[in-house]
Amino acid sequence: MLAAWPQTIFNDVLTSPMPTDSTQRLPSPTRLAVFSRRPLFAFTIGVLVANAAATKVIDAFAQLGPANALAGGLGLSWAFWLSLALCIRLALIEEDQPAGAKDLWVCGAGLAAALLPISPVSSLACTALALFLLLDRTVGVYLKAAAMVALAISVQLLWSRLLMLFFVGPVADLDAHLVGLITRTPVHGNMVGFADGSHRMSILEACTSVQNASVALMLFVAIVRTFRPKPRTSELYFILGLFISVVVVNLIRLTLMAQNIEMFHLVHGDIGWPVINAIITVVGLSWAVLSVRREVFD
Amino acid sequence: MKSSTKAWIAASLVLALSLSLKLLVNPAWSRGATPTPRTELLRRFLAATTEGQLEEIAAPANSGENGGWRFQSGACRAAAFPSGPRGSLDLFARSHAHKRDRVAYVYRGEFRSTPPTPALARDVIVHRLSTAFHPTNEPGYVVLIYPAGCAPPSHLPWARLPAG
Repeated sequence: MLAAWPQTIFNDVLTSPMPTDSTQRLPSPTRLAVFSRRPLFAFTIGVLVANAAATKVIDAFAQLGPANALAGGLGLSWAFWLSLALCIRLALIEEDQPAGAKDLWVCGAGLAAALLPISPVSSLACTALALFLLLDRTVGVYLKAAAMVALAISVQLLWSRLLMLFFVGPVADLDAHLVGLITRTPVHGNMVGFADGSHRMSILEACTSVQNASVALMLFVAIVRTFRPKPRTSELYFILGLFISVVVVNLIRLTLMAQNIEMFHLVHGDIGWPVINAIITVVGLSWAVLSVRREVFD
Repeated sequence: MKSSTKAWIAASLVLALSLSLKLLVNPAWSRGATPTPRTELLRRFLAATTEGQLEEIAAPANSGENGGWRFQSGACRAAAFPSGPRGSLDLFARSHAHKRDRVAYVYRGEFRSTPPTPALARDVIVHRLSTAFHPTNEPGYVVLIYPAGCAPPSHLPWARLPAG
């Protein structure tokens, strides 16, 4: 499918008959439309997300080596790449229209942002492009669905990280206090005592629920929009359920870690970490399938 | 040349050029001058402004943490560490504080009792946007650990220590 789209980027205007008088002239935005809207936006979203993720991918290759980087989802997660593929597919199945001058300006600005060698600028441009598509009334339902997935991707790549830059302390403290309430052990800031009293455990950014929740949200939006492009109000309850589930799974993980040092190493180690990530991915998938069960199973 | 072929070439060029620029400026791949590590900047500052021997506190290998230094502050021995990697909440530095020790933070010359999170977050954003082509250290603060009965080492000319 990806190999077929560039053929439609240009409509060959040279073969079209020239208008002979002013009444035959097309309105200004349409006359400029030598591009098709569908592949133009699909390409721009793809370039922006690829550039937003580029730094992570390069770092993964440099630090882990090609084999481990591939196994680990190229510095992100396979849920991320699946969401990107679904996002581009949604944009490509939109009913095709010629692009207007406004579309060309927006995509041009997006591509210019992608050329800057700063990945977060691409994420920011991806957010802006998604908001433009969501607010434009002439945009069809599939392109709007693609915009929602792009927005969820940019939340995972940029906004959740910015949130943690400012609020990592309070978020980690909150998680530590919740674990302390369950294990009934003393809490000091982001540190919570082990249940057996032998050690203390520090809750850091990677241990909090925010990163897991943003990945689960991205997967949820990508799957739900794929099966049901038009959103429903009831989805908000499913998203709330998804967030609560992710927080509960993470709290169970942290509580298990805070039992004793053996349990800490087991859950925090090479076996426990992928297992927890898999559980959170399955939770995200389950809420998404539950939300679109009629579209999937009927 | 057919217009679809031109489109293919243009699209591939934009993608290749944008990704190549990311690769060129990435510190893991670029071969340009690397900035002086913050641990070394802190050592030079303490060596110039304190008396007595500096004692190294090495960070575990491949941990990404910054090692620190023990130095003489009045009649007491205090320890100073560059802040840890983002999201680590200075775990390595704070692991060197005993139960009754005091922890303080210095950022851009200002001595404080809490981490300078909002100011640092703003500076990190500006740093990410402004230093793509010349690698420099990300801004950071200093974590100070000193015994409860001692005066805080706030008399040192901390403003002379660069933030990044």
